[in-house]
Amino acid sequence: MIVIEKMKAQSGKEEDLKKAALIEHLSEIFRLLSQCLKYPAQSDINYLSKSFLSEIDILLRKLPSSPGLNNSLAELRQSISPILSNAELEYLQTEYTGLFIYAGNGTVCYPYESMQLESNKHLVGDSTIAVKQQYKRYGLRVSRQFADLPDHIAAELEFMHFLCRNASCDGTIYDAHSFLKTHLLKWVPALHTCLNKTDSKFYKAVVKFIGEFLPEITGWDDAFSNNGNEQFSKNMTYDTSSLELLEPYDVSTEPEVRWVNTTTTERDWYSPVKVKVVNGRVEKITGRDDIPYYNGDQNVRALASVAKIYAPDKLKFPLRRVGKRGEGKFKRISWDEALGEIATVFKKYRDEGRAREVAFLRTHPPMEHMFNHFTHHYGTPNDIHTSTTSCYADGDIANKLTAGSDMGFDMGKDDFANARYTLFIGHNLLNAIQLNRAARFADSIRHGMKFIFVDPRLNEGSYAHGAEWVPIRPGTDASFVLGIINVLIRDELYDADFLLAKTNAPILIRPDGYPLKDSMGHFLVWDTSKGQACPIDEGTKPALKGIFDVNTADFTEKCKTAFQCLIERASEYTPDIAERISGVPSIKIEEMAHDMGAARPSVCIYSQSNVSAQYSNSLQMCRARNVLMCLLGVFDRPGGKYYEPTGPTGLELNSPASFRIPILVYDMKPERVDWDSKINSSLFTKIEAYPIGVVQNVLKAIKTGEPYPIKALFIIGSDVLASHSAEWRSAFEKVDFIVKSHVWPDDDTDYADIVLPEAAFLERDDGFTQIDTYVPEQKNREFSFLSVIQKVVEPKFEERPWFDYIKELANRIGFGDYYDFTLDEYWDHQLAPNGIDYSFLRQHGVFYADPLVTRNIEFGNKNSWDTDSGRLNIYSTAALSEWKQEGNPQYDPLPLYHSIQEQPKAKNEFYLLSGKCSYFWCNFYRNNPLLLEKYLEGQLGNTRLWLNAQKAAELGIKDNDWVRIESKVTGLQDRVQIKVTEGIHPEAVWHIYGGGHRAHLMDPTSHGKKGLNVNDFVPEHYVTWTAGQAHCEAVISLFKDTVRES
Amino acid sequence: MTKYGLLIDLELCTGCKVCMTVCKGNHNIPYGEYKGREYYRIWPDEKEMGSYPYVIRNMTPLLCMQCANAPCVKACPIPGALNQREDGIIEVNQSLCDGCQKCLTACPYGALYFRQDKGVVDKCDLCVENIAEGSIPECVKACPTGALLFGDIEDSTSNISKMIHEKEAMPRNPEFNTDPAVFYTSHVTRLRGTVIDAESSQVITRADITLESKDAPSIYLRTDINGIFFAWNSRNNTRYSIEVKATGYHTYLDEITVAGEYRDIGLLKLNQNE
Repeated sequence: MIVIEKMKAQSGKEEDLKKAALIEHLSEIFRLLSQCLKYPAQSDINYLSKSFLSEIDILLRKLPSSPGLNNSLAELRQSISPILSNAELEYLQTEYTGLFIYAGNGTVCYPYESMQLESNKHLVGDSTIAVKQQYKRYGLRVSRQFADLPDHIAAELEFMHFLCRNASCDGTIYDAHSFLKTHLLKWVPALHTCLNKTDSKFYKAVVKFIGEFLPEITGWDDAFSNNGNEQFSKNMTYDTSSLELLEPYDVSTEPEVRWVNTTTTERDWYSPVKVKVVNGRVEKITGRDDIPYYNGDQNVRALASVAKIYAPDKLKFPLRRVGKRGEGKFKRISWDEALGEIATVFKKYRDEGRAREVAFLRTHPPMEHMFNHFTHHYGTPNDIHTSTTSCYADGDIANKLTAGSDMGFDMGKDDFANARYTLFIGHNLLNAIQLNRAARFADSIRHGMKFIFVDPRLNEGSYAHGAEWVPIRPGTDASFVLGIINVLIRDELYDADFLLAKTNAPILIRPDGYPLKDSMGHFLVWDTSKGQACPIDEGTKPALKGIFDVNTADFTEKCKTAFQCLIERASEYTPDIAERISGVPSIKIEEMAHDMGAARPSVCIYSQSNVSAQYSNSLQMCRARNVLMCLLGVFDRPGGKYYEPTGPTGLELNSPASFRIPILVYDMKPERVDWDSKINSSLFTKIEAYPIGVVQNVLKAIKTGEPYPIKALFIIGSDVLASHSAEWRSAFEKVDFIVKSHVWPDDDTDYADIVLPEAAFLERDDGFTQIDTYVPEQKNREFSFLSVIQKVVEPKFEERPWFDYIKELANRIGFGDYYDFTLDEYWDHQLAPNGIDYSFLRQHGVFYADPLVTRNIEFGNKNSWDTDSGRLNIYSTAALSEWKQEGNPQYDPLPLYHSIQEQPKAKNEFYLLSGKCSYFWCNFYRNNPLLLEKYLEGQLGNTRLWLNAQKAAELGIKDNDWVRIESKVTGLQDRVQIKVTEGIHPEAVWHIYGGGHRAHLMDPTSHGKKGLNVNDFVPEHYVTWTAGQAHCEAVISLFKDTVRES
Repeated sequence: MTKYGLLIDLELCTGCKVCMTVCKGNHNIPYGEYKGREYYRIWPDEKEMGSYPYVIRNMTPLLCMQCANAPCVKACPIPGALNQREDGIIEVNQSLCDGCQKCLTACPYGALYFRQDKGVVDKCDLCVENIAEGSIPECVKACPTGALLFGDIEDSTSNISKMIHEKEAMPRNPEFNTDPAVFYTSHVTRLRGTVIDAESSQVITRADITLESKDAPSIYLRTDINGIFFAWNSRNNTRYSIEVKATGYHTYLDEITVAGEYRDIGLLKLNQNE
């Protein structure tokens, strides 16, 4: 009776008291309606089924009579009584989840004013901010418990309740009337229209009723008039005791405009930025201009982070599956329930000594060694990085076989600044992953560097000034590279001195293919000045070519130098032969070989291993490319590859392992590798390059139980169904328990038993990173600094950073001791040698040595590599015994071309290729509307299938026609639109990776659902050596589709 | 008098499209289109040219040219709705605009678009809010290769003026006569030709082509199995002498002017030696 009491105190008038009573009733009605539209708990069901209808009835009777309202109530009663009488909590929770949180049945009715009214379909629209500002005037915000947006219908209704409850002669009444008209009345009809398209029973009826109720109130203008007094009095204290979805707070703690420093994180390309937050919403991400030598350049994908965190189908609350796996039926649950269930299951496996039956499949999150920390202390060896074998496996192993295990992803950095010739084959810097080298690259183009790219498709490299495209038949790259090597050898254009001094080209190879070694295990070379074999580092004039009679204590053998073996190998790939295999004209091969030979060593051949797992022969292709680089002598030479600049950066960090709770770093640089080890059928490759497991073996273990069964999966950040989807779907049926954790839904999320929503980038702390940037105007200098990666805005719903919940999970399972620290503490420890802590970084955003330290990129200092020979390996000895036993070409110590398994034969068969582009990489971007609008993506038509113009003419297919494609091997079919282009090899078709999603949890209108999931059409081919998944090795049949697209 | 302009250096542009993404994201421009014109202030003009295997695809970022002689300003019926500042930047005053779209129709570059949700037009204003703080437009800042340059084109000592002069940068479509403040360097010209026997019309393979110019580096090519040669980066707007040599034939000599993004000079007929 608050309102009435207030009114009595302020005015004793009869009419005012009547008004007050009316408002009192309205306040209560709004409260009840609000309660209907929040996520129901058991108590809500109890109340709804027992009291709701009768209470609404009583209250309505106290209002001015309205036949319309009586009808509405009658209809409401008719609709919801049957449901409420059976009142099953799960039924209502499932309906709610599948209506308001995601599209449970093909339509989602986002219960937010901004989503219903604004054309820009993302969360936190202008209406959200407007509503938030209204709440703020009264010192209110959405409560922690509600954890949802201010313009949620339940919140807006509760706000109406609050305003009415606190009504008096001040502006509150005015505000209530105004809020009703400006907000609720405007959009509830739209919500109802949306619900009408669904088969919802309960919520459709409730919203219908509200839609009929609200206009009635504005008809009672009397109640809301306050004699034109709109004065908002700040001195009033308001009764907030009845609030549940809103809560009072100190408004001064949230300034209207904030700037926060952080770093956009994108694999291998970090950019320091400042983020402008206005009224709690990210409005701007722009480069910082206060960092020495840093010019503010950005990564296109990372910038689109803004769109990411406001995606309407972002995972918001923990979910529990209620239907069949894959059916996509979920209900929302609490974190307590979710983690409780996960902990119970995982603890059981652990306590029973079956921890290894649990597999963690993950991507590369920032701080991924924290993840390793979890699996290690949980006790399972199954820390599986899902993309290793579909991404970098082949290139990475090839690089390690050639240049050793400490060379990282690309055997050094490309010195574009000094390069005279750049070749991209198999990977395009300008397309995917790394564009931060682009400045040096573009500058060199301007100064006449020759740039040429070899690809079945005219990729985005074509945008570079003067770029030349050389088309090539898919899967034949190795023959082309060997053709180049053939010409270099034939015309003596290779760097003999480099080969002798820095590679194992001179080592002697026995007739059985094994290297000749002395009793101490040294490799031997032929010393021409002495006329005998001697250890590699003692030869004064080693022979590069030739066959020599070597007398040792035990035998006399004709040994060839490794280079001699290469000469013989390369002789099999004359330019004409290479042309026949690859389609690249022999003239072109000769020309390129001569140009590279003339430009050496200033030749950049991009060799980063990302996305190298393209074909079942990719390992040898990458080896061929690496051997070519050896012949040109590019390593540690200007214009070729350079290594870490020598000298201090002025920065020093403590290692994670030295923290008081040692954090094991997942180390891609193991101790000296036992190169004679073989891949076996266990979950792990024996090549210690991969201390983590191989995802295909998880599939096998699930299916066969060998080497041990996998019964539970915890998937983080990766879409397991991105490839081998049919196999994984059937594998899921054999797994008892699946947890999926991510920021947005993937296709595999539909199959999870429990879904955990993660805080996205900008919504969590990720520590810091070291950035090395070029010094502008100085070709060979680098500058290093530390840049903070910190939270900018709060998550909007119940999302949590994964470290946060992993820590809680560890505690629940019983190894929380290993997580007895905060992240800030952990980062403080790492930063300590610099005399700063993490709060310093939070505040300043960046740290660098004072006075400034820059380092010279130097060449010619590298004299040994971490290989068995201590040199760059032309001849790889890593798999000789396998090679001898099995004769598998993958193990051949020298590069060779061996054909891929799939070939198109009929006129309508094509190689199906896929790839990425600068603004579309990984699943993270497949649904970013900022990146996928027509004028950006559409012009290139990446979600259409690229088809050669002449082939299209032969098949009678026009641009934008629909076709059906089919894989004979996987049996899958799909429809897709064609893009006719001159820019693709006639035997190939191409589609971007990342389309064709089917997830129920994804918004029905999302871009990611367009196009194909190309990986559905890729059969099982692996590179035996690396487990590389050959994601481009597929052939499809293409048919004109006569069914018209509606 | 300061006059702001842009230099778009196509020698450095690699087509990554961060300029377009940062503009849209940082100005909170919604997703949408009106009568086929999507909501963007800066966009790519992409063209595929040639036929397999001699194919290229160029990309040019396009945006408002901030014309001194602006048709949009002339067409606008509401004083102040389209404000041409002293520094040359033309900005929309959305509170005055009534959405008649005359400016949109008048602009030959297609730089303006209509926001149906707000009922007003919108266009690039070179991020005036950044300029007010002494900073530069978002696109210029974000470009990783430095292909976008911003500055005072009236000041002959400014970086941008020097670069425009040095690179002989030109506005797009000067025939529109709008006096733009945005300058572009040229795309290279891809040059293609076919060498044939003058009498039999058979193609001549492995003929040697030499292109020389006093203004550009020499280019050496060979014809392929179809008698075709293709130069990937001949300098635009440049005169070259072309010399074709093939065994058994008289040397072919000519002068050509190379212009445009893609040029096929057709058949070069060689006469056999007697």
